[in-house]
Amino acid sequence: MMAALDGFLASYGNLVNLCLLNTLLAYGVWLALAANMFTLGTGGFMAVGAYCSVYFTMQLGAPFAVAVVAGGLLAAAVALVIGAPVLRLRGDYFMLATFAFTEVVRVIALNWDAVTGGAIGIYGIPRYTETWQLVLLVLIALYFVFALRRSYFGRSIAAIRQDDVMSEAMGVNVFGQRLSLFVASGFVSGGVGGLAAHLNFFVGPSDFGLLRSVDALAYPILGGVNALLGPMVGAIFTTLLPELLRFSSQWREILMGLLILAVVLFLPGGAMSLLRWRPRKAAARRPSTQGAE
Amino acid sequence: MLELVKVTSGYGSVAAVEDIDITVPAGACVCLIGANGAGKTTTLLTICGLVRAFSGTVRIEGRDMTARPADRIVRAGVSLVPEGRRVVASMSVEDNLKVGAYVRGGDPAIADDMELIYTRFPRLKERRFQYAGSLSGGEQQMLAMGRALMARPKLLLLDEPSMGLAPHVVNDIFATIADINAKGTTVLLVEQNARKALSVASYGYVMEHGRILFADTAEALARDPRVIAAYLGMRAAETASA
Repeated sequence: MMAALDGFLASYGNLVNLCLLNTLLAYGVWLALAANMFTLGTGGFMAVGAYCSVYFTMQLGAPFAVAVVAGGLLAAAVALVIGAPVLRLRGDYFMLATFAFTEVVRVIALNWDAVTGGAIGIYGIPRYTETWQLVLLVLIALYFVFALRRSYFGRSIAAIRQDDVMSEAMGVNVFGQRLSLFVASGFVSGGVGGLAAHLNFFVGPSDFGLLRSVDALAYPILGGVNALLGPMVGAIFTTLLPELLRFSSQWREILMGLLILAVVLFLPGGAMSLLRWRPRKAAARRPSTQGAE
Repeated sequence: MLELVKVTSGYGSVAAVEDIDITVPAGACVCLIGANGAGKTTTLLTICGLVRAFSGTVRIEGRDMTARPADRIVRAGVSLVPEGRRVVASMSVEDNLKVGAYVRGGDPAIADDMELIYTRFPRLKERRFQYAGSLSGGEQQMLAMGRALMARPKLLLLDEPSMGLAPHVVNDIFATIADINAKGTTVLLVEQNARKALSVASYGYVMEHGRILFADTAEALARDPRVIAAYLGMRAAETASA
């Protein structure tokens, strides 16, 4: 049994790690999406967390766990600072502002040679991130999201997602809740950035750009924002898809685009809404929930 | 309970209500009637802190609450039943009620209050696990009212509770409003259906073009020729559209 697992990890270990890492990231983005914040700042937060944690391990010789938490905390602090003005913006303006943030971080990473290594990036980062750590963190994230959805705070977030003006009239501090979710999202993204850096031996300014932010946003949306496992399904699906489509060589990108388009068109509630096709009677008897359209 | 002094308010740089004075004594049921676009909803939203007053003062129980954040106003005991009900369609009836009790945090009495609401609206109890979006208009209005009551308000603001409802449902809703008021909750009611509003209220304000035209007891307003001509005279049209 163990031998089989070892063998599997030897050939697919990288892919497994990537799936776990992206799942974690998907829940980080979900925190923002849960209150209708379509953030493109994820790449920027990841970069902040990655460079900060690498600085901690390589320059300061700090333990790995401390470095990752420090990366997360710095990203959270940045989220707090940019959150206050940015969260006053709505919809597409919010997206543009967070995108601008990611770009600013990229440009800083490109030019601050002393810390980031400039355009060349940082090589030879020790590989500290282990699969079991990622599994553990994913489990923690799952439990956290599970508990959050059942709490008063979680219900108020679901109400904000549907109708923020009404929620405000009900006494929900919409701005405060959005800000705390945005900061939490920044923390997770920054932590994932640190984990990614210590998995790949290398960080460079182009690792955490717009593309990374869009990918991260796609995970929970494709999987389904309303379902607990939605972000995980979306992350694994999007990570494995390029591998599964390897047979098609140049067609891969096109096929991937078509698949994503199909999910968006036919499953607007995300892939997890497939599981909700059940007889009406059963659905009516289901006890109190806040999911699904 | 509630006092508006020379309040001017609106959106951007456009004033939708100008210089209005409204007093709602504790325990009263006061209505605000007027045509579409008279500024009735803006007045309510200004009280709730959802629209900022340009000038003037909003006092709740004697305390200046002008332009305070909305959650402070709810905590001060003012709940809004918004126009068009605005229940959270993808949440169950019960979860909608729980959102209404949000400001009370982990108050153990929430469960008891939920039972009280279910006693008042048995239809909601039957449908407690159903999505709020699947309720009829009247049931959604009950849910919106129940949700507002879950905050245990001293003052309940109702914005067009009769909108889009069948006449017999409107009668139920107004009977409920009268009962809520009789049990001690102060009510400020905004309505286009002036006849209904004046039947439950003790005092009324008439609004037009963002200003209070005049105010009087509900009986006097119901007999006032200006009110009859402008708001009650259209009885035929009103019943036809209801």
